[in-house]
Amino acid sequence: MEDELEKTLHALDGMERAEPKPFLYTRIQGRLERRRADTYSRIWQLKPAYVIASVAMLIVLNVAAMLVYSRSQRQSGTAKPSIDAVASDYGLSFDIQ
Amino acid sequence: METQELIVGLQRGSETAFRHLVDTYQRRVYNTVLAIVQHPDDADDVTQEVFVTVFEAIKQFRGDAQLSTWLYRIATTRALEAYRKKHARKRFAFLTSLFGGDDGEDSGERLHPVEFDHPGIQLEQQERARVLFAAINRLSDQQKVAFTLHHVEGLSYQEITEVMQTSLSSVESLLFRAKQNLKKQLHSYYYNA
Repeated sequence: MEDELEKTLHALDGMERAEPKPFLYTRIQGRLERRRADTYSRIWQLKPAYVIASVAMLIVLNVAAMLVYSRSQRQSGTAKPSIDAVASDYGLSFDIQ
Repeated sequence: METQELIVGLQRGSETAFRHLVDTYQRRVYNTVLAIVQHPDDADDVTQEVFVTVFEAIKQFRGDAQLSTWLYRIATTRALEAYRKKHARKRFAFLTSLFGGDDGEDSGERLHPVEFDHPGIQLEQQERARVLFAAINRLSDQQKVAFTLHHVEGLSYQEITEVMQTSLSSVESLLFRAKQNLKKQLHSYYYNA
């Protein structure tokens, strides 16, 4: 039995190196490409310059939307008398006391 | 391509140098990793990860160790991480199955661990190697790495000290204890069988 044990203990003597599956380099390249793409998207999300630029763009868009809205409100305010005139012509206007 | 030339090429991001590195070292890395993780697909995955790590970290390589030593260090570290991660998942799956969770595909493998046949072992030694690899699996991480580098990769004690960044006496002690532990395990395998 001791002999068996010793033989098993030396079972790796003279073993050969195992070969990886073919095209290992291609698979590594693919993994590197995926890693690069992930890193690029993460950098875009986290780099302060991009974050600040995105926030600034949002603020500009909001301000522009507010300006456009207030201008259209003013224009509808000037058009109001003519609508009132049309309404009174057709007897559709009334005053609430 | 000379090693120094290879390192300079890698640090410049040369694709030729990287291909040369993979071609030269893939067998050593794969063979080391396979002996630790003991699963061909996992070994393939870890080997890819080792080369990706080398590609990304080569600029920090200062040349105070040999390139092969550095590769062996990354390979053994990554292999042990992968092995621990896989077995932690299995333990978790076992716990969930105890509480009535889904048994999953791994349950059979967990209860009857897959026996590992190393493709580089001669046919007449396969049975014994299978028993020995199962025993190697139960060694501590440090003993497993030292034993693998010496008996599977054929590294000298001095080379192992460089890979493991430890003293010669520590490597001698690790290998002595590894052998003692393996003998104990094999003893109980043969005498209690």
